[in-house]
Amino acid sequence: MATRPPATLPPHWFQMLLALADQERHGLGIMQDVLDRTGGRMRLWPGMLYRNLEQLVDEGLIAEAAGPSTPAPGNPRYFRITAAGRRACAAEARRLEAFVETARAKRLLDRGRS
Amino acid sequence: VTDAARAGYRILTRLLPRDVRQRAGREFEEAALACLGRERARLGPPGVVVAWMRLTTDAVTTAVALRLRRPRRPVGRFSPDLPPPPRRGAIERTMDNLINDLRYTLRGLRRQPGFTAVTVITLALGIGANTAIFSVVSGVLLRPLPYSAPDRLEFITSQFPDIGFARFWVSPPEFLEFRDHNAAFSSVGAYATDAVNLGTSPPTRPVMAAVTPEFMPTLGVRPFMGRWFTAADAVPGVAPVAILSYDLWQRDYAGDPAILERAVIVDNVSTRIVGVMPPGYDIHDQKVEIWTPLGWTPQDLAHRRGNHFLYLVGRLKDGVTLAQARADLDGMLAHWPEFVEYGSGHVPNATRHRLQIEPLKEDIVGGVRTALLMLQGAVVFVLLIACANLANLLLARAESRQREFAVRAALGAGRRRLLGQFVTEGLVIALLAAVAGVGLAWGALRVLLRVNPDALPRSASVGLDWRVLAFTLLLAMATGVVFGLAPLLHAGSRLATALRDGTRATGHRLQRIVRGTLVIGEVTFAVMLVVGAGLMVRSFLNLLDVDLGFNRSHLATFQVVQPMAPNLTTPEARVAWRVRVTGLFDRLQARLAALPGVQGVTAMSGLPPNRPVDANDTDFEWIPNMRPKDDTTEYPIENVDYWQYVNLDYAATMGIPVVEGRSFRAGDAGGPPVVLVNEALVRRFFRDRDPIGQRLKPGGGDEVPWFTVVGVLKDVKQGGVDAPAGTEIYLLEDQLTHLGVQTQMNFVLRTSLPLASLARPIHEAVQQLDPTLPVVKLRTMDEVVGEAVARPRLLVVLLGIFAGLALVLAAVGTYGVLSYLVTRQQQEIGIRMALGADRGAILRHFLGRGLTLAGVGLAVGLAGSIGLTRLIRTLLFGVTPTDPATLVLVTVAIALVAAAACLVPAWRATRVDPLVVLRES
Repeated sequence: MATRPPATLPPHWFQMLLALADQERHGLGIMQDVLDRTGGRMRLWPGMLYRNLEQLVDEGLIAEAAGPSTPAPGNPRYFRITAAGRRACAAEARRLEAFVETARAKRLLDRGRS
Repeated sequence: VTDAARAGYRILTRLLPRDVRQRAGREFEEAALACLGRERARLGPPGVVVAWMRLTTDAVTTAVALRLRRPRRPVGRFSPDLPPPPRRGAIERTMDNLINDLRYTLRGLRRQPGFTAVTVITLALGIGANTAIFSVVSGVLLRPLPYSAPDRLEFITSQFPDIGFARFWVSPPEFLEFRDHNAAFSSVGAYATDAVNLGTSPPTRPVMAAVTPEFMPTLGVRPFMGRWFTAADAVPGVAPVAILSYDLWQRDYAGDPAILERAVIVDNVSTRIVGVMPPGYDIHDQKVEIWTPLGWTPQDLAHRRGNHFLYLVGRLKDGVTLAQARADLDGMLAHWPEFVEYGSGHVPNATRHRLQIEPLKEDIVGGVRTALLMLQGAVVFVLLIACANLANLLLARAESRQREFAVRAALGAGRRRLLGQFVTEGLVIALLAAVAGVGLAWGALRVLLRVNPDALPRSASVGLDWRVLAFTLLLAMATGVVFGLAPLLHAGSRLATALRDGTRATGHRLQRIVRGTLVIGEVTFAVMLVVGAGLMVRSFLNLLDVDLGFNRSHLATFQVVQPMAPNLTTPEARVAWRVRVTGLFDRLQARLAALPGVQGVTAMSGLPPNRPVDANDTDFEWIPNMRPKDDTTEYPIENVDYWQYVNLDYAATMGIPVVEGRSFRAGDAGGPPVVLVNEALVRRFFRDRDPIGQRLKPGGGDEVPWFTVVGVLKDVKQGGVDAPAGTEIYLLEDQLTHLGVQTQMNFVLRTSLPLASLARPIHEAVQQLDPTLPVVKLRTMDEVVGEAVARPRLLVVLLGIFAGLALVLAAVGTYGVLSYLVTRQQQEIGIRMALGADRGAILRHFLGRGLTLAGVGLAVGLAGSIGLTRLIRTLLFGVTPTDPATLVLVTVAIALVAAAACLVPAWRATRVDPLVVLRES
């Protein structure tokens, strides 16, 4: 099993890591957060979510967490982001930021509004 | 609702591995419910359907992915210390079994690359041939025409049973009367095709369709750009407009978006472009590239009753069937005189001058249906032979794996598990072959369509679409299951006996019978295919052997068409224009004749051997126009199939023998009107009269003088190589002052120069005379004839390939079975030889076995072919479906191939060394 994260994160991994960046969440919570943040464009499905969570755990980017003292109905598993996950997520964000900078330099974005 | 959804999704989660389900099943359910809510909020009620579809695929992919990825945990089935393994659900077990079977199969196939290659290639050939032909069948026959609701479109033509025209054009008054008085069609449009000189650089001559304003709305397609024609466009004399095909617009005008404001030069007239057709839009597969409006003035219509040049397309009203439309037409035919609005006489009736309705698609593709179905039948035979071969191969392989099966059975594998394993193997091989076959078909189709683009109608719609791929997949699954089950014959035998070593018999009776039947079947199908191919080859050779009536070698030909005259009102203007048109043709002829390497030049209005019939009324002097009351003689109908306008050197340059009298000569141009006729015309119209000196009038009317027959030429094929020559008269172009002007001429050069070195001087000669004139269809006469027989040639080549494939496969199959037999019976052979049997007896024994099977196959195949070839009678030419020569030839060929296939293994049997064999056992 590969231990190093891939050079560029797949977009849905990036979004899932972002969801976990500030708090522990269960799978459904991650799904909702990603959906809200992407304006409904990134729609995860149960199996897809489960598989990707397993892969993220295998890659060492997230880990299972204890969860809050009053867990959600059904007693779901909670996840937290690991240090490696934080680094990978930040690296991806910086990579994307570079593109945004280029777009600005090429006057594609309105600087005044940003 | 939530509970129902939860319960539904719980069924889906059964696909997941049990441990995953136990650990995270609830999470899956919650997430699924959230997804359902999300999709409903996004898409409304349809979102629920979408969500369920996505949830299903999501669950299946997840189930497969999880199982393929995770290493299986030890279940500890045989250790008493461990707790009993968890009970596993049925779906889960099936999934696990499937994946195991798949792994096992792939491993087995990898271990035996030779076996894998042979089976996959054999089957790929069969599946590939089927896929290729089915994609042609699908594109040509099954795919609906690219118009809206195409099944409601009907094709309306006329019929003149007395002159033998089963499908003829309709005249403009007939069209209008039918359009206005029928009760079955919501709209009817008419069209006529021709070609026009287009002022591109260099000038070209695209196919043109003149259509009435109702025509395009009848077909129900929207223009790609611009608009269709309006009634105002079709009034004679208004500013001319045209619509371009998408291809022409792209090719000659580089897809200019401003084309709608441009004018182009059509037949020397500036014409405004009002629209562009959608891509692929055509009518009747004529490759129409430019469309012009068609209309008439009432004065015009009055004397056009006999002017048949239109095809009609009608759209049935909703709820009206074809039968009702036909009944309505029959009613009209009975009362047509009541509908006549323009002119008089020559009115449709129920017997001699009918109209008829047939589905538009039928008219376009009906002519190739038999041929395509024959090809599809042929490739199905090839596939069956391939399957028989594979069944034999798998049977033999199963025999060598008998011990393996026995071991598996002893370890607790049930019959169903073994069965599953066989089917999986069959399916995997078949699917591999399907992939290879689709690749083969793709390549074959490209070659086929490139080499023979015009041999089939609708060739543009032939391709590997979803229909074809679904067909291939189904075919592969079916074949996979069928021959995958073949080894079951073995598993059926008592497996326990296989565990004991030393049972090396020839297999039990059932297997022997199956093997024999497979060989017989292969030979049977091969014989039928080879007989069919043999008949097609003979037909094709007969076609090539047909005497066209002229000497076609060393002839080059091209066409030059001068645009029709603009409105010429005064007689002087008409004479001046005539002088210009004929003068240009004469000067061109002189220039061509002066080219080095050209031995002779002539020009003619219609190019043999394949041109549309003229069917012109022609008045014969001896046939009374007003028949006396007591005259009961049967006179032929005064209508001649072809009027050929030629110049002086026609017969000499074309190499057409003069049978009687003389050809045209120099003095004829200024002398009394003379005419040549062909033998068919003499047979039909003059019977036992001497044709020389007879007089006829091309076209009625008093202004046309009598023309005297001065010679009879040998029949020249005009209506196709496989059709009778038809009646024909030859008129001298220089004498046509009475008959209007011939603006279209085909020049024919007799020369030994290759076409490539002629092209430049010909183009230059035409360009120098008139730079707006395109040189059309510059070809050798051999190419012209080749195009006329393109479809039969395509059929022959394809059927020949399939028959060859079938023969090879059948030979390999026969060889394989016999060879296997020899190997299995080595011990027996050795003992026999040790007991004194001579090699001749052994040879005869095995040769006899093989040839008996082949003989039975041959007999059944010949009987079957006599039944089947009747179905392709319409495709044959000059040969009967039971042609004895073909049958004998095929019998001999198959017998030889079978003997060769049997001889090798039989000979090997005689090389068995009894000492070696006996020592080994």
